[in-house]
Order: sequence, then C-alpha cells, then structure tokens
Amino acid sequence: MKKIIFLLSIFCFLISGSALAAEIYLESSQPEYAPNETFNVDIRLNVTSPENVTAIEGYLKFDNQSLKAIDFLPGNSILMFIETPKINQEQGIVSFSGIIPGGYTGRLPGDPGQSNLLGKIIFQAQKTINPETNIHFLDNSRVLLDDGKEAKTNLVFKPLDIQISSQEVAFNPLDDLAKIKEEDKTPPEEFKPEIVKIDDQYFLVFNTQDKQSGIDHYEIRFFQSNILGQLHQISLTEKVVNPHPLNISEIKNIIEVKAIDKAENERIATLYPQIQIKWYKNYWLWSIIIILAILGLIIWRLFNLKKRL
Amino acid sequence: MINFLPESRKFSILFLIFSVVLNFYFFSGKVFSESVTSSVKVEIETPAPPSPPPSPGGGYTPSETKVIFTGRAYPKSTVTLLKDAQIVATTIAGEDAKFSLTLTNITSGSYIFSLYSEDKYGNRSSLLTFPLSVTSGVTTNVTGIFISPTIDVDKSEVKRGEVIKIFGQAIPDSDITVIISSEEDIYGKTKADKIGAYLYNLDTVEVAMGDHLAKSRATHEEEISPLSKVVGFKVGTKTVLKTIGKCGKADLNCDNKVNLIDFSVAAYWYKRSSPPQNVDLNKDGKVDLVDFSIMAYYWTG
Repeated sequence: MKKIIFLLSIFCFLISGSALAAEIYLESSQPEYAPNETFNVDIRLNVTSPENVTAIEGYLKFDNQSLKAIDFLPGNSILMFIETPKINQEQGIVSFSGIIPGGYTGRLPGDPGQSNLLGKIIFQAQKTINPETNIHFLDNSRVLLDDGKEAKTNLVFKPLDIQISSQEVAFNPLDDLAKIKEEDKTPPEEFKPEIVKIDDQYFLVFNTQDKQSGIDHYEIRFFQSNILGQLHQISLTEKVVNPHPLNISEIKNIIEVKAIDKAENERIATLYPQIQIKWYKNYWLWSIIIILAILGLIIWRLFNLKKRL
Repeated sequence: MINFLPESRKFSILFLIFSVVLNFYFFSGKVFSESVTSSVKVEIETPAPPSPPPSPGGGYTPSETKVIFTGRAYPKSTVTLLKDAQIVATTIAGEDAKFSLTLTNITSGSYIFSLYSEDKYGNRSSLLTFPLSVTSGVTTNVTGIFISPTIDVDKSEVKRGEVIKIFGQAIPDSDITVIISSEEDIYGKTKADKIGAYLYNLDTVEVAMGDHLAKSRATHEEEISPLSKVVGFKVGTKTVLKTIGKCGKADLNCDNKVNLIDFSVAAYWYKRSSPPQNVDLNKDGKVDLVDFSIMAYYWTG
C-alpha cells in the first residue's frame, strides 16, 4: 500500500510539468551517418496555445571534430531572419535569430504539413574517434513571447544525438545538400524593393523568401539610360544585406535587386528613379539643345549663303 | 486523520496530495485559460484525377494552387491578408461581416498567413496568424475565421469616479465581453449593434488608481473570437481626452504601419551602439531581440 501511494505520487509529480509552453527541437532523417556523408538537421518549433512566440535566438553547439557545419538553409522557414545565420566551425557554433511577425501559436488543425521549420543545418560527418556526438542548444538561446516577454518557464530545447560509423560509404554516399539544390528549380518569391529615408540617410529595403533551398544572397546593380534609352550598368554590389544604404546620386538611377537562392535560381526586381531630375540639371537635355542649336545655325548659314548665290 | 498514520505513509499521502494539486494547477491553467479552442479549420480539396485527353495532341492542364480564406470580420470593413508578413490581398466584408479571400499564383511551401480588419473608426484588429503548408495543384480552404473585435477608449486618463467609454466594432449582434486588468480583473458585458459597433461605459468608482489595460472578445452563435488588442488608460485625479498619437508602437517611420520598412530600420541598428530612441523600443539602450519581438507583436504589414 505504501509502495502504491509512493509510486502514484512520483508519477503525478513527474507529469505535473507537462504543460509545455514552447519546445525547440532538432530532427534528422537517420540516427547514424558514415564519414563524409552530408546530411541536414531540421530545427523546429512546437508551441502550446495560448503562448505566442514572436522572436527566437538560437545558439547551437556541435563537436567540430566529429561534424563540419557546411551551410544553413533558410528555405521554408517561418522566421524572418534579423541577420544571416552564422556558422563558426572553429568554435563549433551555429547561430540564428529571427522574428515571426504576428506571432506563432502552434499548428493549425488540418494543416497537411508541420509548418514549424525554423531552418536546416547541413552537416558533414567527419572521421572521428568519437562515434557518438551531440548537437545541443547553448544556455543563451532565447524564445520571446508576445511583446518581448522571456519564455523562461515551460521552455525546452531538445538536443540531437548523432552516431558516426567507422566505415565510409564507398558508393553513393548521402549528400542531402546536393539533393536539395538539385530539386530546387523554383526561383525566389516575387518581391518589391523600396527606398526609404531615415534621418537624412536613404536606404534600399528588400526581402523575399525561397520555399525550397532558401535565399543565399542578394546583389544590387545600378543602371543609367543613355540618350537612345538603352540601359548600361554603372555598378554592381554583390552580397548585400537589408537594408542597404544609398547615396543621393544612386537613388537617381535604375536599381535592380537580384535575389539568388542556394540552387542559384534568381529573381530580379527593378526600382525606377525615385527623384525626377530637374530639366535644367539634365545634361543630356542640354547636349541635345546645344547640338540642335549648332545644327540650326549651320542650316541658317547655308540658307543665307544660298540666297546670296 | 493523517496524524494517526505512520510517518512514512503520512509523507507519501502528503506528497500525493501535493502532486495532484500541482497537476490540477497546470491542467486548469490549460482548461480555464483565456485562450479558447479556435474554430478555424483547414480543408484540402484534392483535385479529381485527370481524364484522358479527348483527341491526339490534347494536353493535361494541371490544377491551380489556391488558398481560400473565409470568415467574419465587421460589416463593410476592409480585410487585409498578409503572406509571410507582406500584404498580398484585401477585400471588403459584406453587410453580414462575412468575407472571402482567394490567393492564387502561389508556389508550394510553408507560409505564415495573417489577417486583420479595420473598423469604421480606423482602428485595426489584432493580427490572426495561420501557419500553413501549401501543396502544389491543390486548393486549401481555411474556414471559420473569426476576426477579434477592435477596441479603443475615449480618454487616456480618467478621474476616478467618472465614466470611461470603451468601444469598438465586432460581428453584428454579437455578445461582447470587456476585460479590464486591475488588482482583480473586471469583466463587463455589452452587445454589438446591427452594424457591429459596441460601447461599454466603465464606471471607474471601483477601479484602482493607476494604469490599466482593456481588451475584449466577441461571442456569436457559440463561437468565440480571439482576444482583441490591448488598449491602455489611467485612472487618476484628472480627465484627459485621448488624442491621436503621431506614431504607433514600433512604427519607426510613422507611416501608420509596422512592416518590412520598420524591420529594416531596426535591422540596421541591430547590435550597433547608440541607436536612436525611437528604434530602441524597450528603452534599454540597445536594439536586440526584445525590440524585434515587440515589433513582431505590433506587426501590421
């Protein structure tokens, strides 16, 4: 009788903390990989209503002797990333931070998918003497609810254990990254860049998503049109981040923003000059006026000469 | 009774009672929490298998990928749909507050869709978000959407003992519950009229001095809406009528929206020293995750 009461109370106590607010967990398709195999680890979020997750900052630690972090794929993520996720192979840390505008309160009943992906990390298993390795969240990882409230209680960060076999796969080793890139034939989503002025500084603002491999980087090109209306490129800036500061002369040009995903599919958005050049500052116009004036003068002189003759 | 039991059994029983109480606390927190099970449902329309082409050279036309949102807002209100935080469509609700929005030309993948409505006073409802996986060639129906009421007050400060008006718009003829946070929450009931407008006069004679927050929810035909946005007011020694502020919370460029532009401005100052005061939303001297969380909360698209 004593034993029953004791076991019952232990059971009740253990399940009493089951009202989970939020859980960030890692998922991989297999528990074991061979050296040199490349695989992806999904970072996912579970939320129990009424909690409303608005921002996440994650710091993932991995053993840099057993695993090499190749890339972070933001494709299909529910996060709007504040900055590009970072990989620090030397310290064995992958970091990311982002927001969910409007907040995330969990899966919708009937949703055919999970719709809770935060990102994918591509790892390559290394030849190692430690066959058992682990990817886990560091203590400074955070989940914020509503308008900045820290989700301190009922928050779980679940790690992932990975086994690395001793034998390499001789034929056709797993390469998740190549597979994801090969399957991605869709360019990034359409988007519309804007120019804004904040405290006397102009910025080019742009953002889009790629639902497959994820956005890799953006490029900006500036164009001017010549007297015949043909565009010629003035400059190209590769790997720009949002927002991109602009000077006053740049906003008078045609601006092309190119979003490129991890599989090198592209989507281009064009922005036309934001400032109309005053006619008396338009040097092309003055050139035309001068040329016409000279031509007019020549014709008039010829006409007069003909008259005299 | 417990005193007559041996010590070890006493301890086990007390521990059991403690664990049961702890379970009840967490369980009741889930059952009686302010959140209510949503009436929103997702239904997938699987396209019929293609019939064989009628003649040689006839081709198969793949089904269109569509997402359809249906629900209720306020009569004749503008309902705005966001896809991944950016506005993609708007519509006007009918006289009965019903609306329907269809999104086509969409690739398969996971999206965060959001909806809000704007009432006749120009106030916006809270954002209702729907994480959804869209499959190519399939129509996804999201039904049972119930936009939360809007809410506002006529005074920013009210002299204790006077009345403050709490008003907004919801589904016509719905029952409105107004919740005022105080030492103990105060609950008020009123009804929305034929055009969905509601008004609750709060007598502040029994409301504690200090800052308070008000929110509301609507009940209609056994369905309950999510909670509205929160509006603040003060009970003090004088009455101050509410004026329209220049910039809303997190609206960094004061264009009456919280969107990618504000996000980009904040992103520029992220982890930089001495950010402008208006960008540092929680006034802690830096722009970090907390400021972005606040921005996400007030997002309008």
